[in-house]
Amino acid sequence: MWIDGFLTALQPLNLLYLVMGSAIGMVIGALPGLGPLFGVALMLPLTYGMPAATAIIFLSAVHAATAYGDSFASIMINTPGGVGSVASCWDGYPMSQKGQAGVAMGISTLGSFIGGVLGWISLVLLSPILIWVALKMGPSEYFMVAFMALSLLALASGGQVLKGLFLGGIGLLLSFIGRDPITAEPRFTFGLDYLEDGLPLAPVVLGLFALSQVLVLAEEGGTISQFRTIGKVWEGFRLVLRLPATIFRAGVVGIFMGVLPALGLSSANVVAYFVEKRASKHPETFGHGEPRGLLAPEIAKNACIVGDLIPTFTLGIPGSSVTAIFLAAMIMHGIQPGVEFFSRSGSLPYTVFAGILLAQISFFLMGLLFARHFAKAVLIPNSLLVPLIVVLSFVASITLRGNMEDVVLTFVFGIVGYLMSRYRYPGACLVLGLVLGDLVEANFHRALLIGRGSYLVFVTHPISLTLLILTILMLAWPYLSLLWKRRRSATAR
Amino acid sequence: MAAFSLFCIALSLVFQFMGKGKTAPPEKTTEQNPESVSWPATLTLQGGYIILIYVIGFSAATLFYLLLSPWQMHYRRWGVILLHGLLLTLSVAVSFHWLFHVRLPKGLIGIPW
Repeated sequence: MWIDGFLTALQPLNLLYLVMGSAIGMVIGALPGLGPLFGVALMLPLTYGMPAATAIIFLSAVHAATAYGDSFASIMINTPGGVGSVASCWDGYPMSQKGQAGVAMGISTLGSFIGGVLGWISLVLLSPILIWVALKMGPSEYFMVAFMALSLLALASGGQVLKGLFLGGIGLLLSFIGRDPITAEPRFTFGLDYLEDGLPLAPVVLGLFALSQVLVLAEEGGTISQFRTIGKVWEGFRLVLRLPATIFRAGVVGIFMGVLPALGLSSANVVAYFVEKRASKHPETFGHGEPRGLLAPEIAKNACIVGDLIPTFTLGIPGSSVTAIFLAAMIMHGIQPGVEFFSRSGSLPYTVFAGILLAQISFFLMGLLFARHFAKAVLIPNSLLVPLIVVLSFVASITLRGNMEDVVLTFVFGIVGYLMSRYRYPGACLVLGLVLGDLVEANFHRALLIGRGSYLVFVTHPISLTLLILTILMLAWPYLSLLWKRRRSATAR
Repeated sequence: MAAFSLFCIALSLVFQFMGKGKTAPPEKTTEQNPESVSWPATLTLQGGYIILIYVIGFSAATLFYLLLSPWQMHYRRWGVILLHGLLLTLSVAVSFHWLFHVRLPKGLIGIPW
């Protein structure tokens, strides 16, 4: 079956669409603000006339390459290519400034490829176990996962805990704008219809990172790279291969976030970054061009997008908006997702799985060819780069919902982002609060409804209790390790 | 939940005012580069660009902004500015309007792309 699957996937027509999908995906991904959702949704109508396997292979190639291409803008111009590559800015851009844009692109290329392959392995081998875990997760468990991620706020603040707490709180408050997840009543909208759907994440992130960066670049003048070099892409590959622990940690985070419905791309890269920072012996180097700070989100991002397909293929439950489009494509082409997909479709599932693996290889090879050329963007004068970023950020804001108000929102958050960077307020905390707020609130209320108003619902479920204990341990760990060190030095004396 | 986030903010503000979390002075901007422009000036041009989009539509406003912004940043190679402006406006308009079928703002004048 596997051989049949690979042979079908390797047919010339499929290969042609694979390469086309990767090329289109990379270009869409490289545009600031436009991520996999936009790419896959845009390409869906083109698949009408294709055979089923070719259509899924084509969409998989667009999906994987868009996620990879998202990192270009993050690394080169400190502008997230999409909500899934926000964390790639934090260490990728400082590397570019230090004249290591090529190295950063190498890390991104190989990291994304490894992440995609890890996600593929989990899709093929671990699907039944992962689905079993995912099905055991209820609102209380989801709340605890999000709460655990929120506990990373202190770490996200980069030593400025109070400012981090402040911004995390603001981020949470901003995420509550819109309709109540349980009663659907609008709140904090100030009577504005525009705010009833809540603050859209992409324009906010574009403002916070892209437009604020424009103001910084305009003030600096010159070019992004302070050196006339960009380093070697191969050097990035070497660095990646030296960090197996980072690959493992970020891979686990990415797959876990991908498998669980609602926890998707936007949180996977941010959480993987902070998990890596917490695991590091030198967390102070993060944010200053630390290769692990770039590798972790890159791996998690691509592992997540493939992991996201697991519940879609096996249960027919889309974990995110992108996989909902995949589901629509499958149904459109007469494929029934779920158990029947594996039992009644012959070699088709294996062709699709082979296609997903080939999609990872395809964008990796393209990355090998073009990464170095993309890296040269850091040598373009800021006076030409600044208007380019502004135009692309504005057009991306308009594109997402066709709403001019989103451009104004991007502009406003651009000012906020600039003031934050000027007064050294960690913008990452605001994003963490904003990304996780929805999830925390909705699942908190759902869990309380299930527990009939009793808070015991969070400690009576075994997975929820385990997650709570892990969160407490994570928060107490710095103090416990300090205590342990003091004790050890006291006994040594 | 809202109360929890308000609590976070309040707690940080209390400590801030108690002097435990001193606000760092604004980060010094990098040494003066002849091409550098102050942030209020850049911001004003961006604001003007948004208003222009409302008035004359996306593509015309974009061309205008792309010609003006490098000039504001003291870039004086007019050939490059013109080529950069025209090519970028054309590629954005073509790709987003005709390829991606995005409805770009027409403005009050009503230019369709």
